[in-house]
Amino acid sequence: MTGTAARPRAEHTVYRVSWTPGSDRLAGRCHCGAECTGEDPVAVWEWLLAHPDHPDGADPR
Amino acid sequence: MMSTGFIRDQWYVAAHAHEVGEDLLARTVLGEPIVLYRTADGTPVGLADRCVHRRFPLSLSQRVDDRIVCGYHGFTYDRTGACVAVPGQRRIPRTARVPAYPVVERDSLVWVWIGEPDRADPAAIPRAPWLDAPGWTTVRGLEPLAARYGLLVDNLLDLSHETYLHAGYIGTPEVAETPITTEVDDDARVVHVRRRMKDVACPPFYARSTGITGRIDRWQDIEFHPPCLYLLHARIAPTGVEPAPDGTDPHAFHAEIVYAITPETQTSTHDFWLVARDFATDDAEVSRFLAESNRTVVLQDVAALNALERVIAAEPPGFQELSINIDTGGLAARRLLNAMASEASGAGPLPDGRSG
Repeated sequence: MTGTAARPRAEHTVYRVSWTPGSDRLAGRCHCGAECTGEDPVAVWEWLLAHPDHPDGADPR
Repeated sequence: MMSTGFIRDQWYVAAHAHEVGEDLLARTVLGEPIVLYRTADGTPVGLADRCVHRRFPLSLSQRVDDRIVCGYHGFTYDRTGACVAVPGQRRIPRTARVPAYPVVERDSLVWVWIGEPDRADPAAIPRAPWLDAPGWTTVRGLEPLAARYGLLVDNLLDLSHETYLHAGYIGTPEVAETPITTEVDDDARVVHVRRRMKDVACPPFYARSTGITGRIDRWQDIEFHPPCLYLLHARIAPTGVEPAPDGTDPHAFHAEIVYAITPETQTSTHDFWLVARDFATDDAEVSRFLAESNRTVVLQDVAALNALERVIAAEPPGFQELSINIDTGGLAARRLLNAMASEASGAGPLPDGRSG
């Protein structure tokens, strides 16, 4: 069998938060390409979901 | 009956397909009592489970061919919910009809549409084709959960709890230690959470079912289709065994862990669980072991969430939770659910009252 997990479609509005291995850091990426890092998932989501008005600074912690 | 606080205008799993047969099955979904049965031609039917006359449950009545004869006074309903006979008179009151729910049987599950029937689009039902596909074997169950729906969503979106709540079954230290990647597809309305573990211990759940004795690479790829369907694509392989470049993966073991999370009332939930596998598909002992083990795991969750429900019910509103990295997927799911709740007709906030 092949892997069966569906993946988000590239043309869709996709937000991604990656937990950086070996650290406590979260890296957020908006569908517009804007990126942030932080250590609080609530703050990272708020930063991403502010699209298109992402707050200044890329660290929402 | 309209209920507040639920996400209406959505499909929900009301039953495993095998539960719906000749007998009348009572099941409450989003506070709405429904009677389910299967007509002679095999079609599943869902009607409001209350006679229009004196509200007697139709599920406690008699079935005659494809009709239900109320066990109290004999009002008789056809498969569309229309009353076709009343006792002692020929005239059938114009309003003698019970609502019929849109019902679709798909992938061995029976889905009902809770909301405006005109909005029911079967194409919107998320798929889980492994559940009755050739080459796969599925074990399944349903456990009653005396806790609000949102608590089970939180539980399933954060599998780090396996390490602590399910040690000895599916939990190993590496689950909680391994970072996750969370993606939200806002257009498709799907939450993806991926955890890829390399060279880790094989928990008994997979060691006994696959026969792997050494360390493994373990993938947990969650795909949550709110509000109801949760898919966990699990890949287990001896460490170092990778999928082939063409995407095939013949040397790994795949398990599709599926949950259908269906609110029963504001504070109770139907916890449908299924485990489909593409290995040892003819081995009854593996089926028995996986069914027993997964039910044990589900009951561990049920006990924990029932306790949590009692805590939440007893405390004043407004408790400030603390979220950490492991909660990234759960937070994403809450946000989508809240967005859907605000859009749905007649809907209010989530049953647990929290925001995303």
